[in-house]
Amino acid sequence: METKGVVFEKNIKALTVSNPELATSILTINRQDDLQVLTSKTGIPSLRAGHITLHSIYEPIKEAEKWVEYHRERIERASALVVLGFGLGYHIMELCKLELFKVTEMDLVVFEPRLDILRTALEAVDLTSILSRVRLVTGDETPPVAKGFEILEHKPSVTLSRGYFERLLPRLKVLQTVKKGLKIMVVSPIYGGSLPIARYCASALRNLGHEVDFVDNSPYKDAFLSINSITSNKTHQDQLRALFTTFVSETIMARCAEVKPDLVFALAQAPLSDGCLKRFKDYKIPTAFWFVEDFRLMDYWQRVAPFYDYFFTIQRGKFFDKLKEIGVRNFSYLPMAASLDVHERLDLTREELDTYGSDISFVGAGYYNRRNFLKGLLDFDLKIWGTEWDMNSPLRKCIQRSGERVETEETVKIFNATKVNINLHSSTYHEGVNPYGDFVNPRTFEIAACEGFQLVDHRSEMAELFRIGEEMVCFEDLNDMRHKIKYYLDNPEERYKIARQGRERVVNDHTYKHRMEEMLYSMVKRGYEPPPWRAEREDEDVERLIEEAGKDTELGRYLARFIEKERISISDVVQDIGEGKGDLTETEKIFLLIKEFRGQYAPGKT
Amino acid sequence: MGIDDAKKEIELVNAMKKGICEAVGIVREVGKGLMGCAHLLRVEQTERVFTALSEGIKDLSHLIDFIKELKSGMEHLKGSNVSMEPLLCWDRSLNVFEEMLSAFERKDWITLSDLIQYELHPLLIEGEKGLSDLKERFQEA
Repeated sequence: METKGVVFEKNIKALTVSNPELATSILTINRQDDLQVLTSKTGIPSLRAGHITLHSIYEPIKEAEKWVEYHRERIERASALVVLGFGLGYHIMELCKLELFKVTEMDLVVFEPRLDILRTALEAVDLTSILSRVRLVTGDETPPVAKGFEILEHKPSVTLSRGYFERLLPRLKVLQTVKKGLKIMVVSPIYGGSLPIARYCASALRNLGHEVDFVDNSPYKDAFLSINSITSNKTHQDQLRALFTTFVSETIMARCAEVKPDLVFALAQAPLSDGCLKRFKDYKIPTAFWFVEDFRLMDYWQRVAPFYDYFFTIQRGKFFDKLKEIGVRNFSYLPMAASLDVHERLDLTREELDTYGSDISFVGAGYYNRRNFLKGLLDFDLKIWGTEWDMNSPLRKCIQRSGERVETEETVKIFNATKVNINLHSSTYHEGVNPYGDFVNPRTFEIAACEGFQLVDHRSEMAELFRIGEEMVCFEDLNDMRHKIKYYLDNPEERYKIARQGRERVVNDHTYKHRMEEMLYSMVKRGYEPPPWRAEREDEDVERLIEEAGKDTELGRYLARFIEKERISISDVVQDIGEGKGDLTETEKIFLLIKEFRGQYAPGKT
Repeated sequence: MGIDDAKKEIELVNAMKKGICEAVGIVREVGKGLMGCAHLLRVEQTERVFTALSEGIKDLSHLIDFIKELKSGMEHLKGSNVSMEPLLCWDRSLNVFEEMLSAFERKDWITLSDLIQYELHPLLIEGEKGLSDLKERFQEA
């Protein structure tokens, strides 16, 4: 039999591979006085903490087998498991013996707040077979878990660390609800760069299984922009714009009352008035806002940020300081991304390659720094696509279609057809590269998603998003860029390799699906609670009703006929009864009775 | 012993035999119920488990009262040479009872389950066998 020291050494070695931080923490921890290792009647260790015995003193393994058996149905229907409490790990070892865990990658997260218990377990039991299979969590943070996870409790551990688990469990339940799918109202701006982003987000949320109500405010664009032509008086223009926003806000509120969302998610420039945002708060409707703009250029964040429950930004550092200064606490960094449904690799025809292709190209509006900077590339085969370019400048010969607007579909073709895509973040006052540029623009992700090769100006956040030189190539100034253009035009294989790796990185980490998952997860961590009307909806959830009634009961069997519907109301049931034939069953009579009661005492409800 | 005493003794023996017969069945049911509670207590501490546990313990307490009555009745049987030995295990169950109470008070459900499953339940089986033996001895006597 191996000694305690040998077992611990083996375990800690295995843990160091899977979770080095935890292994280090365990090495520094001492066992508290209340822990007592006992020898069970079968000779293997058991553990008592204070007055609570964590495993049977007689047959701990048999007990663990029974624990698994008890939870079997839930284990089998789960896509991932969260276990509350590790103890000496017998129940976890039994879980890992299941075929399900041997043949699948099923995620298994185990929460154990007491490091000294983990240390005792590592000293007492050979856990080497499971340590790589389990994600051990000891802190307060809820880690991301796959959709459809089940929570299993090791009851004595939960009793022992009651305070910790009482805090954790509600968060896990909310995470379960969020993963199951929320009803999210996505509010778009009227126009501008964040409009397509709103669409990408809505699509990503749908792909994640959420029910999305997309409030498309783009039809108001012409009316909104026409305000400028109504009067040249700035004050009057502002008044009209405010009234217009109030009107659109009211339409959104009306929609919200009908849709009853679990979350209102607005993108930068969404036309939501202060009054409307206050009402969301009054009705306890959670709100989130993604400020996909440069906080130094757009300052309306100061007005709106305090109204939102969750505020997401593409910049950190100073922006976070400023948000704190105005009392905003619920902010998180959420960088831009790409939509793989839109930005993709294309096999272009010869004709398309001729139209959209060139050695180097630039797609975007003619901001000051771009107009100035691109003049230094006139000796290359350069094509410039986009609006707001000076047609009287030397760049004129490179500007395509006289500076007409280019649709997204075409930009994808340009990214695919160009040998070297130039991506220069906009600036209204720098001559070229903004030396203090921090956030990474959507274009970076979009070109990469198309597997296009790009040279992008240096940004302080870039290195965290892409491996520079392997997945992305940055330039510091015009000379550096010119040198790199020549190099990569001469070395196509390197170009292809970097572009391929850049795309892989986007696919793995930087899609809107990733961002939306991250956003919702961040909200859960920050205490997201569904609005009161969610509970009313859940009362009508068919699966839940069947589960509560019991599958094999008369009521459960009756309700099973509605399984195709996500939700049912008394009216649905009564209508179904009305369409049926023969004598009424007892269940049907009860529903009819309820309908009668409702009609008399709560006429508004169905 | 007078005729009246003999008559009373016969009545007492018959009552004891009838009581033992009923108790045997009850012990089995109580044992089964408590074992179910022991298994469940390890994995859930819900109202249904505690209700079942409290009912099981109440039944057990009635059984122990009956055993006490039985013992006292046997002491009254002057002419009988039926031994009380088969009932001794019931005394041991009282000690387990005390430990169970202590585990209950400190909410140590695993120990409580262990006590029911590995200490009390074997005693109940032994107790059931003892009662059956006693019934036979009465019949032989």
